[in-house]
Amino acid sequence: MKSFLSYLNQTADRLPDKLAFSDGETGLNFAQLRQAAAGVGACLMNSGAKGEPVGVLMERSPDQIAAFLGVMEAGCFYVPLDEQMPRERLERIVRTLCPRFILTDAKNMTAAESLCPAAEHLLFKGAAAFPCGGRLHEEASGDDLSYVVFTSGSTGEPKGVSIRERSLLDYAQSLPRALGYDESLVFGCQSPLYFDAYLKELLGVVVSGGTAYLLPRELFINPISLIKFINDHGINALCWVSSAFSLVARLRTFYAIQPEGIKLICFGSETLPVKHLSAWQQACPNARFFQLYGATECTGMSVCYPVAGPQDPAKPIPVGKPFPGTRLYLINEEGKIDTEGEIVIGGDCVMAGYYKDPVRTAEVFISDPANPDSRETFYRTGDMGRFDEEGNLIFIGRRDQQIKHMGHRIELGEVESAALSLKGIHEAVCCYVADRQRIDLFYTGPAQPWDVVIGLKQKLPGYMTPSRTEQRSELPHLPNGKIDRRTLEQREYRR
Amino acid sequence: MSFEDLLSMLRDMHPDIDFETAEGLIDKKVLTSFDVVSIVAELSETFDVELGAVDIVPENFNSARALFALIQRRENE
Repeated sequence: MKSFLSYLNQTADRLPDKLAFSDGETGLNFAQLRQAAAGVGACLMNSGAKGEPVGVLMERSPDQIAAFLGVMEAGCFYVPLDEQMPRERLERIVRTLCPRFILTDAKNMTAAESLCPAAEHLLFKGAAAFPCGGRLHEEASGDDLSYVVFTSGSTGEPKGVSIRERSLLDYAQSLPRALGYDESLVFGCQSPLYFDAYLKELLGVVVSGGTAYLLPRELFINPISLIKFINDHGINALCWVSSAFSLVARLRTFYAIQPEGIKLICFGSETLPVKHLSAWQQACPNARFFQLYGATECTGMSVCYPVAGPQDPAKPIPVGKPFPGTRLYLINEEGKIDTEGEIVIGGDCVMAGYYKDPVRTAEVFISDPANPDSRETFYRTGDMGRFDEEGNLIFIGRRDQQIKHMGHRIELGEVESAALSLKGIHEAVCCYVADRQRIDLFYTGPAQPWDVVIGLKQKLPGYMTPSRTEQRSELPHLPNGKIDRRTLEQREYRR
Repeated sequence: MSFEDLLSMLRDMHPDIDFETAEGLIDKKVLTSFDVVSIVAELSETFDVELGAVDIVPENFNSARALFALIQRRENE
């Protein structure tokens, strides 16, 4: 089958001098992006890399994206290792992967060497300049892995979602069509590159010939500068997590400055309050709005809903209908297809599994609910949903203790097990206060709250550390001995 | 609200940070954009202090003193 990188060949042939990715200071046009990816691919192959994980520990930059594509060009799969991840998490990921090669930049070289001393460390700049023909592979098997991204796991051990090239190709065919991408779009990329969320921009650029700016993180501390950056660079497409849209609306940014010329707005991963949506709709009257829904295990987004006009605040905004080629069912507790139940997704988008983790893979895979004899695998999202009268999917909530916080998927159990691993903590339980977008941790034991916070900051990424850490003399229990979360929540929040 | 009230609120949210003396909280990436939004929300809910977009710049969040000065300016308006 045709490779994902053949899209980049086509676009670079057509628009070689057009800007592909920029961070506002440095950028790569399509010819440079292809050349860098081809160089990295040739360098890795020359070093003997083949069908194996290649860690990428680099600053968020256009070069990092070229590195990802270069790893694929070598027939390997990339694993983003973020400089901002806590050391312990990075070490766990590296232990699972045992990569022989790490691509890095000058700034992260020392960190990369100490993280994984046994690996060969390749500097991106040198690798990108490796002599090569400059064209990328056109053919692929489809079964080879393209990337592995790590997500939160309830036991504290991150899970490596392994995505095959055929899933990426399926996404490349479905998402740009569903959202009406074209080469006039200029994306403002909000997400970090260590998750799959940035694929929405990657496809907008590589497949549709658009341009994407990686928005500097600091801009989200300065909403007026954020909108100014958008206007100054002609950015007209925003695919962000809902909390980023909420942040701008909540800070009443549009009273001070208005975005100009926005054509496309896609939000998802969390609920966007209708009042924040309306603020964006008023500020961007010519934009098409979409709500998206999907799972990392199904290569990003699988469902979309065009949001037109004012929405009823009393009703949830539907997440819509699945992309063509994606099959989605709701199953009840008996595993039968129903009109309300757990959302399960099938099709080429479904991951190969969790990396080197058959046990947790088996927990989330089921056979086709419509045809149990078929060999097709479906992914259990753990999300509950129902269909409305028009057949649109409505998201209801989670089946377990997983939450979405600031666009990140978090298992509260992972925060709890990190807390329990600290000295002086006997019991720990987390509550998510959704309306205030806050994680609260309650614990028993002699540890002082500030020691707990400092300990957690060393173990968990910033977005997972609780906003409030409270010591209690005791926590409520159920007859089976488990912590009684419901009673605790009622007591703490009078819910 | 007093400076002590603000310190106590900030300490509850980030007991690891010594807000009395810490400077450059944003510049040194001690606080992230998520933290800033939480602080803005907490100020609104606990003290009815409403900050707007023009207030959300790094200078105003680099220290507790800078934030308190901003709150006083807003309260005097």
